[in-house]
Amino acid sequence: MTSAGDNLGLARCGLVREAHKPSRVTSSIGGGTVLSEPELSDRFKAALLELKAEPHSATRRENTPDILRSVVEGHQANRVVVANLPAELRAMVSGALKGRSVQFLEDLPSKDVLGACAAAEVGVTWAEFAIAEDGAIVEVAHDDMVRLAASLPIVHVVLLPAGRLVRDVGEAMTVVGGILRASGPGERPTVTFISGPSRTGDIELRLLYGVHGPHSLHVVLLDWYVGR
Amino acid sequence: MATEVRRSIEEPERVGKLWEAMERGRANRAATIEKAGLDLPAFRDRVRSIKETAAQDPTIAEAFAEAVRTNGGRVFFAATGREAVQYLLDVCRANGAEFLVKSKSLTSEEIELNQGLAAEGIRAIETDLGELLCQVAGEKPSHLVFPAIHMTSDRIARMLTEAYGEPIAPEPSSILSAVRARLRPQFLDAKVGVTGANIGVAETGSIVVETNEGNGRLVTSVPRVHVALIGLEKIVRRWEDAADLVRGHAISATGQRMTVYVSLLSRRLPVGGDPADREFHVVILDNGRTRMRADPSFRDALNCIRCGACMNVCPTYGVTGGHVFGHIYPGPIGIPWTAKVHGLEEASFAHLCVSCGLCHEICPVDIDIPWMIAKVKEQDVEVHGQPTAERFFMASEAFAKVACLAAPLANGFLRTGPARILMERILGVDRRRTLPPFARRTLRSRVRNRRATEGRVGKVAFFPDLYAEYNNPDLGLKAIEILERLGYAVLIPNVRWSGMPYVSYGQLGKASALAAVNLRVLGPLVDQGYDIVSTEPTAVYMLRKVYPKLVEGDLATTVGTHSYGFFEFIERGIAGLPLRPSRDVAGVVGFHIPCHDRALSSGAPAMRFLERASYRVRVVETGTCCGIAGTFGMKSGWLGYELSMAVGEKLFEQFRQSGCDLVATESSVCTLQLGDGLGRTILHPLDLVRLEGTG
Ligand code: SF4
Ligand code: SF4
Repeated sequence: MTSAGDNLGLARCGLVREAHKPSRVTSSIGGGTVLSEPELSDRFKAALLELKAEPHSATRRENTPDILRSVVEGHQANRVVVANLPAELRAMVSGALKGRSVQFLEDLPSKDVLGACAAAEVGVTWAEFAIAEDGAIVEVAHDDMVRLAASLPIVHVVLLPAGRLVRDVGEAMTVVGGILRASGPGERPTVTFISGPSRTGDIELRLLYGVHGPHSLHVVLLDWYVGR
Repeated sequence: MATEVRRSIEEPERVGKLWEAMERGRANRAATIEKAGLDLPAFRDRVRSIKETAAQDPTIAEAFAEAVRTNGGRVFFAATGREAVQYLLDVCRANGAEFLVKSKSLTSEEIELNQGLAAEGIRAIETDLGELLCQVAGEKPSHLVFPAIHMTSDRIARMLTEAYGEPIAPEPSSILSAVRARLRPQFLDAKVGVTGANIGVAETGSIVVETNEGNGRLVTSVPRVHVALIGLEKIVRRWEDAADLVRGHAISATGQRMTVYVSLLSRRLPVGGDPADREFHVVILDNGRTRMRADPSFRDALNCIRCGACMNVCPTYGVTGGHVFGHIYPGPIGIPWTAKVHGLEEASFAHLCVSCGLCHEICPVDIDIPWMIAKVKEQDVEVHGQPTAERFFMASEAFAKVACLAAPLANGFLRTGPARILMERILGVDRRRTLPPFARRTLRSRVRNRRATEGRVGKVAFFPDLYAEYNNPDLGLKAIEILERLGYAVLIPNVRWSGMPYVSYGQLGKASALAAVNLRVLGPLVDQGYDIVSTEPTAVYMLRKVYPKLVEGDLATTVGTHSYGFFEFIERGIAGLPLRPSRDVAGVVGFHIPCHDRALSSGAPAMRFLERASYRVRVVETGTCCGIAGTFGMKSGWLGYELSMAVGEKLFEQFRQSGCDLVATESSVCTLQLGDGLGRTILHPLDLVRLEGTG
């Protein structure tokens, strides 16, 4: 299986800014305004809150396990599935959730993946980047286990490097277009923009969360992690 | 039709929360546009050019199909809905599927997929909550975005309790949990998943599926086979084109910046490393679209991105609901789509359109829906004939001429009960509707002997239309006086009326002939340096927006660009006008913006005019039409007066609540509607001022 991130072509697209180098804004797009990094990140968090997603700032490697643990505990969850994480983060996640059932989907026989996701209460996955003003995280999946882990459990926890932000959907499409064009026809990933937990207005127009997908979306922003 | 309209009006619970949904839809949309700082005109232009290319260029679908195949997917071009259904059936049979799970797809409703599959023993399970509720109820969706908007939570709970055989409380959260629990095993067992596609992207052979509930994610990941059904007009060339569409869908549909899950799918992915023969099929549907593309009058309909915004603004859809105002495609854009895809016979709801023009104003793709509706009406009256009342109103000009000649008699006649009963019986003009009295002397006869003034600043051809000519020449005179004070030489050209009812009632041939007559008079005047000015918003709307459609060539466009609303025109010189209020300025003027002016200047210059005369002005609006819509609300019965008053009631209530001391509007027909609805005098902004130095 191809692991996400290997052939993303993000660097080549040149639109994703790295927050840990605030002075270096990588490009301007279509003549549009390029926001300074702290502004983008603030906007992203504000947009997440507005969408009823919960942002968490993991400022240091050391406090990241605590954040994960408290999110899972907050939902009184025991069964966790994990997919698509960079290899070096896996140990940290399993350490943080010690004492619970944590299944790394990459390690399961493929026939067990669907069942594991259907039984889990929490799915932990990875986002390649995010769209600041729309509060959307961008999931790049080369295997549907990622999408199952992110859609079947009632809680979705997504990790991403804090500074990998584009401004809006226009910029995001340029990046994604680059990714899809760069991948061979039989290798194109499925890319999903996710902005908030699953919702509906179908009953008397009342906004309700958690229809078929997760009730809760936690976005853990890793300040200390630059990406694979 | 009349019976159905009557039921909608008499049993408002049938339409339920629709009006509220529409209001909220409009408000959310406006708020999001503002917050996102979206440059709407530029956005509209971009979306329009993307869609025009997509809808009109047949090579895009070919390129898309080729790319899907290269990605390992299968493509089927379905010429008709029947072919598409058959393909789905074959896929289900080949995979031994007894049922399939489906995410929301209007295209699948267009081809009546569920019924087609059911006839062959295969169940299609709707997974979008609103669609699922409609399916359980055995009803059609009543709104594009909120299909089950007509159901209350009590009703839903009762219905599901019966269908699922377990008690479900009427709280939305209980309903949600019950549905989630019920559908989960079906998702997990499904062999085939069907989705629509909001966009197809040719360069990489990908589709975009947008859902808020997350059902689209499950339908495209769990089952071994995924079939996407896409109308051929939805395919764009490049990813960069898709961004504005993704934005446009969400903003106009629900006021979100983006739909919660926007999935960009190019092929089936393996699960846990195992490709396991997963299949991806794309059915590209024609079903009348190529025919539409070839028809210059209806081509524009292919640019629709199915955002539902036009529904949210349509006044008569708002009180009748999608079951009456729709076939499968509801609302304004449903009229041309139904006529072209399902046939004229199914599109008779076109006559519920009152030609207010608002759907065109709100459409993010700038689709001239009212024009296509006029075309549908034209075809329909050719086949089914024209009601008497409509013929009468199309003869308004001739009637007004005669009535003015015998004004006291005519006015007396129009005021007597028995005469109105007679008029209602014979002509179909509702007896309850106040009709404006006729003047003894027309505007033209009154200006004939006036001394012409020198035009220091410019020259104006004043277009009176019927009202200022035959009913209220004083208004016309006052307007002319102001124009002269501002230094314009004014003449009344030898034009006829503007002729809106011809368009509203589908007589486009007559409308074009009349437009041509007027343009022949106005064209040379424009060449001589005249600007055309009218106090009637509908006349300006016709000149600027409709005549160029009715009459091909530069003449109509030139005349259109030189046509102005009165207040818009005088704004340039207004500082020099000695305006004084003619009424008490302590109170507030409640201002009604006529629909046709929403396409022009939205009443802003008239309001500024009143403010200059020291009034406090406040817009009172529901965000849609007052209901009279020209002469529509003068017709008797449920397809006229009743429907018109049902629409108007919302606005009347707002005026009553507003506590405004004076009510003003520019349009002559809105004046009638507000007068009848509020039982008080409605003023023209010019009634509210006098010029210093005159009596
Ligand atoms: S013109 Fe007005 S009444 Fe007619 S469909 Fe459009 S919004 Fe509805
Ligand atoms: S016609 Fe315009 S407003 Fe109506 S659904 Fe289509 S795109 Fe939206």
